[in-house]
Amino acid sequence: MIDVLWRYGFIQRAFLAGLAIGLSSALLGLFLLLRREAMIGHGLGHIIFGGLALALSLNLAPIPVALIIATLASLGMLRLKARAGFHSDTAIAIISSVGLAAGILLVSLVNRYGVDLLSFLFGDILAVDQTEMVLSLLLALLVAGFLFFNYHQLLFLTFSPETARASGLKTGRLETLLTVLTALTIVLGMKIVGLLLMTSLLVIPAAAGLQMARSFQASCFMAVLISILSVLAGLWLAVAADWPASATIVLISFVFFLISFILRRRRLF
Amino acid sequence: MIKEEELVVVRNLFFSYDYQPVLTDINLTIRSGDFLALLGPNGAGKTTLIKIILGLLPLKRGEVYLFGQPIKLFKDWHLLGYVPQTATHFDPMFPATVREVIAMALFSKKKFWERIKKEEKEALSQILERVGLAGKEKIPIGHLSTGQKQKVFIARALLQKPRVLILDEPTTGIDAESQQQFYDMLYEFNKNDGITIVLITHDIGIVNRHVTKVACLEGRLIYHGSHDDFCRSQVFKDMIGRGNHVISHQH
Repeated sequence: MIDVLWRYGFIQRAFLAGLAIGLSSALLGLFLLLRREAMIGHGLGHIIFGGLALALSLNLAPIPVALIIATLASLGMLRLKARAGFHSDTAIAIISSVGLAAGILLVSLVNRYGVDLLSFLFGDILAVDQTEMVLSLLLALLVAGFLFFNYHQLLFLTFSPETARASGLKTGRLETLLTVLTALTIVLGMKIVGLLLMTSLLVIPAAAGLQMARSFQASCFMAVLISILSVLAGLWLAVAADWPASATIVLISFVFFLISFILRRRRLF
Repeated sequence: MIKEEELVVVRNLFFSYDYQPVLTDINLTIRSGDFLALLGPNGAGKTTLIKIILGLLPLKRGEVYLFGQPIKLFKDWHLLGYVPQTATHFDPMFPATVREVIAMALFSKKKFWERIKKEEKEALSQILERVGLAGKEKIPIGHLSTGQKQKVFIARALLQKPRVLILDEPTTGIDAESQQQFYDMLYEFNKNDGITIVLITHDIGIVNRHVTKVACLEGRLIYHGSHDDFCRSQVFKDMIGRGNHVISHQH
């Protein structure tokens, strides 16, 4: 059936964008989990909701506005952490609450809680347009390149941030890029699984990859593999059974996590 | 004027967290080849002083010179190897092998397009052998004992070819026999490789093991001088009187 559907442009775009976001989120998610910043996806999702509400209320294109808001918010979180001395979760909670509150206020003021906003909250992968697909592929290239060229530095920063700074590593630049790329992944990924479930795409494949590997390189490989398989299987099942793609992708990734968890407990890894 | 052998010079340093003074009028010089024990009770400001020297905390009042340069102009951070107190407090599930952890040191001074060279790979293998971890490079770091983990972090610090190696409470959680081997290993790096060692500890027993200089900190520097003078000093007697004990003298 997929062979038949593959002839349709929207299916091709859905698969390609899904694969690209799956790759980006698995790689970034690994670092977020190990830095104990798993909830950053949730926090940025709330901010982006505010950005979308702003765009819709002003009749602006939602994706560019969301990209700008998400980038600014991620930089704001880093600043709050560094300058005010807050822990990551505190900075995430403050910024995300403000974003969500602003979004709710804007939505109620303009009274446009319509289909547009719901599609971003719950995802609508079959509505991914050409630009979004190209942006997702470019983002995947950017994330993979960033990790490839900064692999050891990022590992050092994640494993022992204090020693990394003491050895002269420019940790601020790496942290900024990591957070901004995460924000961009969430914006472009909201069409795939929706803002509400985007954290799961960042966290679950990475958590499964961590269960199944003994080295960091192997964890990266397993996380990407699980993420891509979840997106492919989830999308196929969603199209075949007419299920919501976002929920199907997330639930399949959870099945992978469960398998990896059981195998780890039985010391098969 | 800073002399060439004065690798770290601290002058008139004051530091406070918010309005709580932690360090008062600190003057300290670490010379090339020193094996310095920085002693003091918990909360004496030892880690704070080291973090200022390493640029991890801001210099608010006073002067710090590293290798003759004011700290603000200093760029060769790889010359200062650091093993923090919390080095072994990482997630035991962290999926990095011993080799991956040690190799991190090579990349702090590399541009993003530079890869590990052949001679660096050889240096890594040699260091693993010297710290007694040969053959363990593919083991996940979380699977090692506390003492072995400390050796990995020392190996990582050594791989960046430091001239000063700073270790903050490195023997916490290590049994007495392993501690002795650990100090012997540091002594070898000090004697054979000429690496200046700075050992931060609240354990006065450490003064017996290879230490040449002692600095005692209790918010202010209450002693700074040679090991032998320290053993005859009133500060030492006072510390012993407060319940600290010394086992034996090995010099």
